[in-house]
Amino acid sequence: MTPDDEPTPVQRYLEQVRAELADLPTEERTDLLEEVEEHLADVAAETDSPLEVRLGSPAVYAAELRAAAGLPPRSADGEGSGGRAARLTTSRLGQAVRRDLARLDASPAYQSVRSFLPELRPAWWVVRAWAALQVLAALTSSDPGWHLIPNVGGHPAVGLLFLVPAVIASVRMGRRPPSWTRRRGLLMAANTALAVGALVAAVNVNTGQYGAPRYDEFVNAGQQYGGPLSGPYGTITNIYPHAADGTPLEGVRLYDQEGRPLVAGNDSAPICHEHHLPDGTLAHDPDRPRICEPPPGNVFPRAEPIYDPSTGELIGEQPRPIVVAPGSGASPAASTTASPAPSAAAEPSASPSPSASPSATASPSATASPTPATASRSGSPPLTRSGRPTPAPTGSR
Amino acid sequence: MDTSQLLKGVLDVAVLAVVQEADGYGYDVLRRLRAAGLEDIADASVYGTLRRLYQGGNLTSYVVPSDEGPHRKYYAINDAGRTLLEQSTKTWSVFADTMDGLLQTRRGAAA
Repeated sequence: MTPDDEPTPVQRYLEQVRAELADLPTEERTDLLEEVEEHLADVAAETDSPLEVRLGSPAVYAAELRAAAGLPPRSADGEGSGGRAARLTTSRLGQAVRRDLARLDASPAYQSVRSFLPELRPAWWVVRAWAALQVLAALTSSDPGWHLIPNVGGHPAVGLLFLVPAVIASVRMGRRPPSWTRRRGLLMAANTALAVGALVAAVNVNTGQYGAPRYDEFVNAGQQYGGPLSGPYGTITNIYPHAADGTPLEGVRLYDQEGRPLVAGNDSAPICHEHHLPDGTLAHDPDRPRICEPPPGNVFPRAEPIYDPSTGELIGEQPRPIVVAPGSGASPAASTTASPAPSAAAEPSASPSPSASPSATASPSATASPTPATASRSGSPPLTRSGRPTPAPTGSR
Repeated sequence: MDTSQLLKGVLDVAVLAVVQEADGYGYDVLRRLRAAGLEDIADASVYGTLRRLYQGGNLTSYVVPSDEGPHRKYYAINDAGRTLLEQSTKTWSVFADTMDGLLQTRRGAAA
């Protein structure tokens, strides 16, 4: 911005008066502004103090001018004088409203507030830049949380980087009303949107991140229990635990780092202490901690019955996969786990280990019993962490 | 008492009186009103009043080119304005007498 572009105080004041007269017919406004410009030049020539000191804010000045000229007070929506303001004056109610508005305009308290508000503009320019970035952050970041520094693109550092030029741009925009007055309506709409957005964001601080979790968050957490497990190779449908020495383990219960039962495949979700509202929906009871019983599905390996695709008859079970347990001598582990033959149903008795393969009774109903698994070496859930890198389960608390 | 409220009612007649005395442009009229003692007068209201009186056909205007600074828009009173001023002066005199009488009666009673 060169010094030539910088509007003089008279120009700036005049532009703001012009904006206040925007709803008048062009001819009327032009005539009035011609004299206002002359007046401002005279006042500026007479005194070095700001025009506002002598004349009040441009809004007050314009209101006085209109009142004395017998023009209606400024209509809020910027319609022409043939618009709402004129229609209002035709009715008795309209005249009463107009009189009240004029009285409000003239009241010293209102005038002092009105003349003080422009002083707050620089603060608003900063807030508006910040609010714009908050909107940008909400659009670009997957993080639903609310942060003081806008999380643009998911990074607060990027937000901070954006904040500085955004504030500068916003202040420049605010300090150059002349080039923007034509787009005043658009600017006002954008300002309103940003103010509302900032308000919503501020409210979210109290209800969202720092407040009590909402009910739907509990529901979502519950749904996550039932979600599929995944590993480096994709979805995990079953887990075959082995002891350190390679012995295949049966009936092992697995828990995650939060003590929540792991569920693989399509087995049922954990049984949680929830109650049902009359309409059948779940409700969380804040007085009772949400404790989830191990679901039937967290006993591993899961029995995976195979059904005849044509008859639907149970014809056997999925055999254990062949595993080579590291660090424990490949041969014993390999020999025991390698045993399952394609006909899995006939296999259990042939296996050297009593727990080498899922027994015929290890149907989903049998594993659903809440008794702890006996084959697990630790005996009860959760498992203690094994010291050695084995394929054994490493559930821990 | 808030003088600015009183001024609103008498601004028309005050401006007409000043302009009848001599033609003048906005700032000139304002200065003369202030010099006459109406110091609380709001700048913008003088300009608004001139505008309204002009549009109501009680003033005429002409532009005087200026060697330095902007051209000046001068206002002059016309016949309609003189008539209005005469009527307003009468109205004011009656009103002022009434108020004087009212206030003097009370002052006399209080004394």
